[in-house]
Amino acid sequence: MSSRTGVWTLAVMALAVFLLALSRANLLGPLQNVVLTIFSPLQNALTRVSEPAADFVSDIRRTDELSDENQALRAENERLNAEVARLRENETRLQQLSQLLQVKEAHPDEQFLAANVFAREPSNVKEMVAIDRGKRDGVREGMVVVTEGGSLVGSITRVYDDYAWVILITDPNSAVSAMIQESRAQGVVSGSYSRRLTMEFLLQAAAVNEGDMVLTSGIGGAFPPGLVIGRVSAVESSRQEIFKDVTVEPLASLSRLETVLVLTSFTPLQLQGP
Amino acid sequence: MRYVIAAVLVLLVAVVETSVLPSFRVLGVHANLMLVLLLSWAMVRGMEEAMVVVPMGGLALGLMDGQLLGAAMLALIPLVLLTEIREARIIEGEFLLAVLLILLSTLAYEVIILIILRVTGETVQWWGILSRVVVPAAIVNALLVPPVYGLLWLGSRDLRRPRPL
Repeated sequence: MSSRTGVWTLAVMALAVFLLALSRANLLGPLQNVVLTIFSPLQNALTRVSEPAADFVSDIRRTDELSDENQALRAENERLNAEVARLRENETRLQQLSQLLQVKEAHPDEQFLAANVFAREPSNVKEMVAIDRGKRDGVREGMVVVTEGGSLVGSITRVYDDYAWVILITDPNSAVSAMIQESRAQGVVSGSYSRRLTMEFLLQAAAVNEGDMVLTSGIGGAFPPGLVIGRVSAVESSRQEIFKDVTVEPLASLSRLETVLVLTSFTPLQLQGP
Repeated sequence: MRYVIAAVLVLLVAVVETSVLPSFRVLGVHANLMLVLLLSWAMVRGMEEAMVVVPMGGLALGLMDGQLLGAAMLALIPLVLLTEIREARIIEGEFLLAVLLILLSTLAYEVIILIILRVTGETVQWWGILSRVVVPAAIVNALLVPPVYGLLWLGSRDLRRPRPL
């Protein structure tokens, strides 16, 4: 290495570390907010324009898979229609019971803030999206983000004045306390570098089947209980292992997010160690 | 003027990298166009320009991505150091060398990003990262080298033309 390259390396390294320190102390938020204000319309337009092309490329690679998926979705649709009818009936009964018992709701109504997704994290080791809502809209770090359909997307990880970054549940660093709806067995849903969700810490004795719904359990206080995460797509058991190997298919289409909802009425708990 | 063009180019690439590219996954990853552009720039236009353009690229990417500002800049430093290998003339042919260097630069880039994540308190799953992220990303980036390198090479004909004494 020449001396010129050596000096350059030290200088750029010092600058990068300096910027990292300032960024870690949240001192560069206003600068990044200005840059995103300038470029977000272009990012948004490019994202929208590229999606049909990306879908086309993806569809070519997945023709057979899509045919199977279509059949499965038809069956799923039929089953869901039946379930909706059953749930409507349950809801009516629940409303009647609530009125009878005059139960005052323990929690205020949930409040949502709609936001557009305009950019995605370019690194292959992180799964994040940028939304066009920030501190000025009441968004705070840790707030929960869901789809318009109400299934879990992730949580706010960095907030600027007008923008925020959402860490997706498929991020390798994401961990959500979860439970199987049918058996109430509890575990933790984690992301991975392959963008697959796995449910960990489910004992071999736990009743888990393919197709079971996975919901947030609320343990830890980072996510409210009862939000839909996904559906169990594979279960592997082994006598030699303590825990089951469970794969979860997220219900939200996390690679094609356009609009999301920030749950502003839920304040995540910041638990401290003993 | 060349640095103004470079600045505009790296800003555009940063925009594309945070909007278009994440939708196009090949082998489960998407390309790092900034890395490919900067490496090609260093190979075609020389180290002197690369030493200015590489920090520009890192800054542009850092201002638009979701990570800490400075992370991308730090991860791009090995690119310039690796480009110095060219002086050693290990491989004859600039293009083949560019492909080799993009493989090494991708490895260095991803590992540095992971180290920064680890240092800043995130959990890093080191196991499996090589086969699931680094190797596919290196292959995808290598596939992008021919068009990017070719376009820069064509756009730099004036630089390569011998200058009158």
